[in-house]
Amino acid sequence: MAALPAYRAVITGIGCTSPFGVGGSALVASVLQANTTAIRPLTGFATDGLSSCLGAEIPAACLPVTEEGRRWSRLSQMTVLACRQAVVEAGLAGSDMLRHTGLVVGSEYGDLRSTEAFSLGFLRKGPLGLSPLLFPSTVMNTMAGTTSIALGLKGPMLTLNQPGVAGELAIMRALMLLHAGRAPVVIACGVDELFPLLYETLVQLQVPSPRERGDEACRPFDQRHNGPVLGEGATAVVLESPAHARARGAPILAEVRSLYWGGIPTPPGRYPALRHVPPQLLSQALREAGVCPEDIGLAYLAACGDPQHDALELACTATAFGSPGPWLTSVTHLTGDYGSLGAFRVAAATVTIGTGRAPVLDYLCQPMRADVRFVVQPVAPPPPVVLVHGLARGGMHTALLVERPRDPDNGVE
Amino acid sequence: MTQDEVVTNLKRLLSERVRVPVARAQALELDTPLLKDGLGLDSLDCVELTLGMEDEFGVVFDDSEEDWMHHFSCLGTLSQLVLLAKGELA
Amino acid sequence: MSQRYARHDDRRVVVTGLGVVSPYGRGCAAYWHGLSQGHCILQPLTLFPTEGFRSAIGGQVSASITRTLGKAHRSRATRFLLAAAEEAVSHAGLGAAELAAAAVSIGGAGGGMLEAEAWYWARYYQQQDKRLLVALPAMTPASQTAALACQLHLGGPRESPILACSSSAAAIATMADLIETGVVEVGLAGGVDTLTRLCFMGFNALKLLDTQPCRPFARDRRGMSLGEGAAVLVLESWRHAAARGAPIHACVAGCGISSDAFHPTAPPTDAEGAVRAMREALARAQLTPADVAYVNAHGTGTVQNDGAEAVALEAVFGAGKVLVSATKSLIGHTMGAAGALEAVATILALEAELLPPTANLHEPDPTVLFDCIPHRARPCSLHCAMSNSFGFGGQNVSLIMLHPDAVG
Repeated sequence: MAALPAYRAVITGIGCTSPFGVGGSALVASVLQANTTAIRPLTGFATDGLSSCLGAEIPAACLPVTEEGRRWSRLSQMTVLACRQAVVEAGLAGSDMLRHTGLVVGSEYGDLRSTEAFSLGFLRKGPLGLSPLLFPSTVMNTMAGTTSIALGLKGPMLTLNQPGVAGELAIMRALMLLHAGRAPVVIACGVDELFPLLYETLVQLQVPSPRERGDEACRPFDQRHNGPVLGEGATAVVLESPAHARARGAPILAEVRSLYWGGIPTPPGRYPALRHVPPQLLSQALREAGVCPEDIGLAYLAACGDPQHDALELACTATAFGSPGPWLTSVTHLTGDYGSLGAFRVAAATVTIGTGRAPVLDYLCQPMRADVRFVVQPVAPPPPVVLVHGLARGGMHTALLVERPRDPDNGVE
Repeated sequence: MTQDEVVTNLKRLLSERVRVPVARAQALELDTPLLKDGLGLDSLDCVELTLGMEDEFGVVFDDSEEDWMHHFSCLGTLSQLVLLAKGELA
Repeated sequence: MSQRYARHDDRRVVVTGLGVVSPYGRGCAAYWHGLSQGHCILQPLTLFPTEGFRSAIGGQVSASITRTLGKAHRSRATRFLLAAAEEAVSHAGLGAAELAAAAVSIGGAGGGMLEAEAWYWARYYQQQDKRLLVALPAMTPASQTAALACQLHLGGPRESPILACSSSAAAIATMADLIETGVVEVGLAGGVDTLTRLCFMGFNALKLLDTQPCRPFARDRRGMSLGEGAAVLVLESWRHAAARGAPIHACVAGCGISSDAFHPTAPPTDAEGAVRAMREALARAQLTPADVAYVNAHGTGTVQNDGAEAVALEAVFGAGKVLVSATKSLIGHTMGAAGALEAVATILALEAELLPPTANLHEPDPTVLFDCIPHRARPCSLHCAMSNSFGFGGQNVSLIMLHPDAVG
């Protein structure tokens, strides 16, 4: 798959709708700086009788009802806010360029809240209880559709459904759209939300911590790990070619390219067994990309806190980089886990490239492995290359490289 | 049923079904434009409102007529539609 | 404004395998037989209760066909998809090594929603059955893609595009991009959707369903009919296909993807997004409108969609300059599977030199200035055809297929 990393794009804008508020790269930087978790007992809905009660939820104040958004679902509103913020940061607000801009939205569950509400209308009142207005929101492209209307985006628009690495996947497909010349600018956004039915059902399926083992907490890579703690958010990044960004004087925050995009054949809903993960997969991808493992100063891992998943990720990175390898970090202890969190990981990696700051895994007391090194204090100076790694239930496996912007006279496009 | 009663219910439906802010709905006059030159309702809103009216008033509308959207011009025309469907108009 | 992508000839994308599950039955042969006979298979739905709803007909895959489609514990969508993929891969003659490196992109709107609904309905009536919980991991469309990847040991890039009615057309277009840019040599692209209560109720609530079998492009058309099915295409670089002597059904010459950014359910009356998608497909294929002899239309049968599509076709091709027909008149609107099913119909039409008809077209709309091939299939020797999908939310995808003889 040597052709995959050949195309580089630059990130020129970031936008987030998160438990920490709505903002751009400054918000992400402040999240990394503070290293304070948004995980706490849920208040947006009742968790009585459930074995889990923690989550990282977006406060209602961040999502006010507006006349413009009268028909938007909560998830669509999260997406619009994040994409709009990214567009502002990229200097594209009000620009004619938006008419040619593409949009790729990645999500694990989409707008199931609207699907449930629509179904309940029928169950309570029969056909007359149905809401035609709600029905379009039951198809997962609703967030992209709403955002394209709100921002006037007329380029190619895709929604990609994917557990675990929906955010990374949105970015990878956005890179492909740019590479194929389908749009000069593409916004990639990952979005998922917490809502009662989903939370309750996942708890019934024994997905989140504590899974009847220990206390409820988010502790990826710690021996006490016992499942993820769920979160929600929308993160958007604006992507374009380096030449296009320079030509319009856009702020260039980082370069990004796909390193690896593949799947390990695995039954849906399960993680692959370690023996099925080709051991040289990441090393080979690095070689094909012309990247020395030593160049990668830091890696953001998906780090969901599921013991099997944690073990797999560490095995992948330890095999690829040897000991001690890059500094390993993640955002999950701050944001909670959700399927499209990878977009936030890329945004965080972009900030790390610029500032050197990375999340500190301050909860880590009993690391699973001693042969890798975790970020337990702030990292400095900024690493030139950051890896963003993802591995999903069902076997999707991704790796992205986020790098310092290159000298235009030296770069290849 | 009087026109006033119908209008009261229509204003409530505008808020409940089509999510028009309550204060805005309550402030509507009989002749305030509801469609794109006024409140801004579009075809999707009107489909939602039609179903809401059928449920609320116990009537069935035939929305296949060519000038169907005209009925949604303002609360005046909409309330007339409801009264006609309920047989309250000659 | 998309740039013309400089493409080397040996990276042209060809189709080397086709697989289908349709209301006509299992397999491409049954599908083509139904289409070429102009057999409208829209009938009363029996998959779930329909009392109280205005429209209750559609293109349903019968129980006798479904019974032959693999393991009963799997979701209906997964069973349809695996059967279609199995046929496609078998026809393409792909081996284990090729599959291990192959990409896969399966579009769909509903996923395993039919089974998830059963769970939710039972839960609402407090008849909770923990066995039904297993439906939930299969609920989202990505789980069908994962099931297919697991079944066929596919190790390449994986995607599940959801663009409402344009989902599987987008899967084909984006897979073609992966092959043209050299990321993979082989990919499976397609789509699946089953009838679901959600879809049935929703389109009824929107009053977009005809109570009779739909009548695309007819003067008295009154809406859509629902359908279900799956289609998978094996796409390959021409170089790879030629090297292994694979059968070549068609060339995916160019694809256009655009957005209306207009309205959640309705197209703009000038159909400018659809026009852009078609023009982008032509530009990427390095063809002119005069090269296209036939368009397999989106053609849902709604007053608005068909009207907008006719405007778009006129803008691109000129009135009467291309033959048009609507597969949805025969099998219904198969939602996320429509793009792939209709791409297969287009390819089969190219191969057979026979254009499937538009059914139920007793009185064509005089404002639709095209011959929409009423009732009977039309013999036609052609090299190039277009297949369009214009989905909810303003998602437009246009695919151009070339007859293999036209691939020099």
